[in-house]
Amino acid sequence: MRYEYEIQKIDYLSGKSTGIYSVRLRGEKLDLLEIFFQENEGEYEDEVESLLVQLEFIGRNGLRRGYFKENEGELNDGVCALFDTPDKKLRLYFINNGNVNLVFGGGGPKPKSIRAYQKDPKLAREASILKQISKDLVQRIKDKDIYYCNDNRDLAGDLKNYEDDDDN
Amino acid sequence: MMTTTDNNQSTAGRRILRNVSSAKRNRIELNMTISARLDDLMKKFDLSTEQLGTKVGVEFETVDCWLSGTHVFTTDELSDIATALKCSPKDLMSLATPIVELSWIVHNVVNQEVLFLASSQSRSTEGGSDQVKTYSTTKLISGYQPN
Repeated sequence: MRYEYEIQKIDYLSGKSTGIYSVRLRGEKLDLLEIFFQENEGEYEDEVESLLVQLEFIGRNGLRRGYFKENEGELNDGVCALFDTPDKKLRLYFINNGNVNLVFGGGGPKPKSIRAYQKDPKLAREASILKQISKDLVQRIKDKDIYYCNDNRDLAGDLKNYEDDDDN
Repeated sequence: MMTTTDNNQSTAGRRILRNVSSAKRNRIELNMTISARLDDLMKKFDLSTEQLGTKVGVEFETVDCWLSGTHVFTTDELSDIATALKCSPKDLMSLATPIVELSWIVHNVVNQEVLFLASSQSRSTEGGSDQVKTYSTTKLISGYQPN
């Protein structure tokens, strides 16, 4: 399935070290990161709080190699995962662009009975959205439709992959 | 063209973040700070997780856990890590402390006063990226005025 989306900066989490972005799917009012918070704040309030504090810290002080897991799905699929502390009940997927620009999608809890995220439909969908965007970004940066600025922390250019004509 | 989602100030993420208790925020940030600091020091000394593990006397998986940003450090761990990296435990707890390399030290004993002159290249890791600053520092013991 081909997703249509717009990449948007999350200002309240972005900081002097890292630009934090998320993805708004066409037809949706909210970006995937915000949807993730709303979906999980009821049952996983502590975990969502933990992730938000981590994101704010990363925005100010930078992303470090140990904070996240790479290749969350397949090798080199471009999708990384951030976990809440300390119990890792929730995973939040993102694309890591050089540790200074991060594009977050959604995520969710991974049931202990499941070994791979592909077995969970919700997690599989969230990861597949970001896999597509990761590939798109590589190509669109090559084509110069999108470019980095502000010491590579920010993305600029055409951050939508669809025309505005029928935008909701 | 950059677009942002902050037109709506009352997003759930912003609201939840605002309501996190200071205690919880401090705990998480301290653990992440120590991890980041450890990461910086390992890069500075070109140490792998295995090498640091050997120095401290733990398995490399333990070092990976330290670097995760989620580990709750004990005082014993901080002490052992600081000993291995030849720094003080408090150096592990702040990203603002510069990592100073002393390129030369001159000892001059004058009238039983000891003066240390150090020319140093300071690497600040604040902000997660290395910023090299070069400056001259003089540690005043007594009666010496730096230029």
